[in-house]
Amino acid sequence: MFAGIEKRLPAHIKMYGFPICHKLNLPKDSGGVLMRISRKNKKRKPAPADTKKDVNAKENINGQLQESLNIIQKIFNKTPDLTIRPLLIKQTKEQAFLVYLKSIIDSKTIFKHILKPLLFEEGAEKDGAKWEVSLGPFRKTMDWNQIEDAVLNGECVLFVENSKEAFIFNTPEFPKRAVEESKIETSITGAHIGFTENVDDNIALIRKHIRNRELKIHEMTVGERGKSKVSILYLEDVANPDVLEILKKRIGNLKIDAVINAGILAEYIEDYPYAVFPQMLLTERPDFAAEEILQGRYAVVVDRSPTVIICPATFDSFFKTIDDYSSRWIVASFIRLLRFVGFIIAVFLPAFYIAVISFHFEILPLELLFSIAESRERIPFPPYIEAFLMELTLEMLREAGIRLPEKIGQTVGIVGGIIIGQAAVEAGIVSNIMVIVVALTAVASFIIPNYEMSSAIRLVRFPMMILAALFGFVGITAGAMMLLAHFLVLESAGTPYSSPFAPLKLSDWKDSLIIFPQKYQTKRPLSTKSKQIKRAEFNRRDGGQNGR
Amino acid sequence: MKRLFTATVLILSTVILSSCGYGMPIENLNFPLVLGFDLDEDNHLLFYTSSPVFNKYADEKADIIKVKAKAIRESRKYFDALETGDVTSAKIQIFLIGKKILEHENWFSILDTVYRNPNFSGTTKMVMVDGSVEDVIFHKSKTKPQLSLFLNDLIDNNVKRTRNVKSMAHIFHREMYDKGITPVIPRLVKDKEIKLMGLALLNNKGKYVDKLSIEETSLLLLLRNQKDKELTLSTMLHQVADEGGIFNKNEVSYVVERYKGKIKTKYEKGKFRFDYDMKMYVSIDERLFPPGQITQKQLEQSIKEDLTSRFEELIKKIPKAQS
Repeated sequence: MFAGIEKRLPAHIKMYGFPICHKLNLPKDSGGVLMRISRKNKKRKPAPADTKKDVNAKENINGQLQESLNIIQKIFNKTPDLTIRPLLIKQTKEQAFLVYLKSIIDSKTIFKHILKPLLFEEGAEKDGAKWEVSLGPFRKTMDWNQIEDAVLNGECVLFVENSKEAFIFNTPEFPKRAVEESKIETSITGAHIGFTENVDDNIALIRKHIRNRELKIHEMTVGERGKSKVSILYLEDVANPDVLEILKKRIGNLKIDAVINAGILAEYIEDYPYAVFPQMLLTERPDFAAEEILQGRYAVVVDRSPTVIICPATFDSFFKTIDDYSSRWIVASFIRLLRFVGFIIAVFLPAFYIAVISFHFEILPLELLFSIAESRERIPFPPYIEAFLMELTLEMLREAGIRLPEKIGQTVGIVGGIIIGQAAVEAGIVSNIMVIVVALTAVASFIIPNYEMSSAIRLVRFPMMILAALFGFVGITAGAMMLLAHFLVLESAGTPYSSPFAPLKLSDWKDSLIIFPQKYQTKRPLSTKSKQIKRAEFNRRDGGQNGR
Repeated sequence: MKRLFTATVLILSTVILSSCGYGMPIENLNFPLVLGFDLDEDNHLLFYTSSPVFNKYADEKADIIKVKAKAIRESRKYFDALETGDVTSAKIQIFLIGKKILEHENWFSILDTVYRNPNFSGTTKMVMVDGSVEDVIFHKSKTKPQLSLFLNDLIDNNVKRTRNVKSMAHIFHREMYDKGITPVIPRLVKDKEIKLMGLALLNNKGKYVDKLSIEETSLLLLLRNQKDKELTLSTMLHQVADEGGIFNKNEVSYVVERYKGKIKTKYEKGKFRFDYDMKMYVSIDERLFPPGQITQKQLEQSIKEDLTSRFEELIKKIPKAQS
């Protein structure tokens, strides 16, 4: 029976069957876990790869059940959820025991497909196998390291008397939530579905959109202590292979404990970690990810993280939502433009206010000058202190609103609205024009669909305010130039970040500041340097028969 | 390390730099909105400013100051002695110039700093006060907004109806130095209320020569091809019998819908020569007499004759100013 299964197994799984004992090159005198703990302060090795030493003196299973049991108990000491189930296999009358961590396995599967066949069913001998279970994939190993990994991954391991191999059954059931809509990236007309914390589910969600054999998945493992599966999804006949090489290299070179979520991975693999602006797009929407893959980009799915990394990203891709494509192009263009205007307002408005009030009041129309001067008359602070005070208050309110539970979160709004909006003005601490400026800035930064980008934009306005307080419009201009230069320098996975504006790709403008009607968008963005540029024919309404 | 040092030095040196002079927040400024010039009985120059007051506890909305000085820039030291904030000229909306000043030649040089100092705005409007500037600037109206806002709106509205000129400082400057144009300045009269009564004509040296009524001003603007959004004229018709009494039954008013004035300019024998060819499309706006008293041709003819005679009268006035 085993022989038959092994034939069908893919190569990399079959490999596990061979002894990999040479990997365990332990010092002979290492004295086990206790010794390690007792001298933990003297010898502390920072390398995260050092986690698997000294757990067992023996390197392979020797077939003695009692000895195996001892080793298991030694490896998993202080692990109360470890379950060891001794049993007698009815089919062969052999002694055996089953080991698993009961918190992360599917107990129904174990009972129905492993315990029940082993304990109660009479076995019919086939292919030389002595016993059989009704569970699909399983593998054999002799290596204790693999056994340890398997138990920690939610698999259960069967030790059989006089067998030098242990059998590993795939029965994990980690706690997970149902597939539901993303709460951060909500959409009106797009699919109401979001990524979850499970890598297989996430890949399935993308596959649902792109059912094509060219959708390839490159799988990698990251993290020494908490291993995560990282999958790079792309269209092989479209995507630029250079980007894949860059991603492989950057992810492959990572030596870290664990990748808790995609944000950490994105920070490790992005081109300019010291830049304010994100260079990798994080999304929770499968439809958006699928759209980007179709454009010739790469999606990096990280296990245990509900966000997927899209790269290479350009600056304008942070201003796109899936709703842009599902609503009509005129409306969508207007909203897209509005977001770019929002970007400018969020970065420059407070700085503009400071500059006008403290340097260039001449540009104000007379009536506006009257009302501003009236409201500023009682304020004891210079404009920049007033502005910093209010902008910091706004940031605190925003952060408080996120961290608090929803029901208390509303109180923050009321406190912010009434105390800051009204009482502070009445008390003469800030002017009401400043309150308007702050509110406008907040609203403008909130319309930017990408959370990372909108936070970055909110941060950039502070240096702008300092420049405005020092130099007025000259300072703002200098700041804007620096910002522009910064954008021009940035790259995302080796691709220019400010494309299609610089380098100028006019055909990409069909989907950047405004959106052209879908039928004119026949090409993939040039900025991704995809192998296959054409993505659609120029579709006429009646197939071009009457020239329409 | 070296880069860090360079960056620190660069940042420190830019912080010490200052761009627009120095920052001065609005609340520390005192910005006059009206600047007035006049002469007293002994021909001493008087300067007036009117600046808004924003303090809640102040009784007056405007702070008006009168000082005696030799020049605008010199007057500033007296203003500084009187005002709390930093006096700035950037928001002056109106220059009020007393008629007494305009009765002297070469008064224009006192405005030198207006054109020299970039703080002054080129769009400040110039107005002549037929009477004393003091009466106008200290005048408090219970129903009208602050003087600067009121005068601004007043002039703008009149410009829209083609009844006055936008007498901005830079335009006036050009008119003063252009030999082909007679400088004009709006004329303000104050009896009980402040009224904008047409234009004053000046000669090349800036001396007051004559005044134009409101109707004449409209015609002058037509001659200068400066018809704005709307222009209404009225004519008395002699063909229609006036029954007498209080109500003039022979009055007709018309809106100039389209106006084409072709002007050919020549310079002959040391004099300018202007040839006018005017075309107007007018529509009757108001007619007090009953229908059927006059044909369309007659109406056209009489309006034409009336306007021609009035233009001629106006043109006769101008050479006087030019001499």
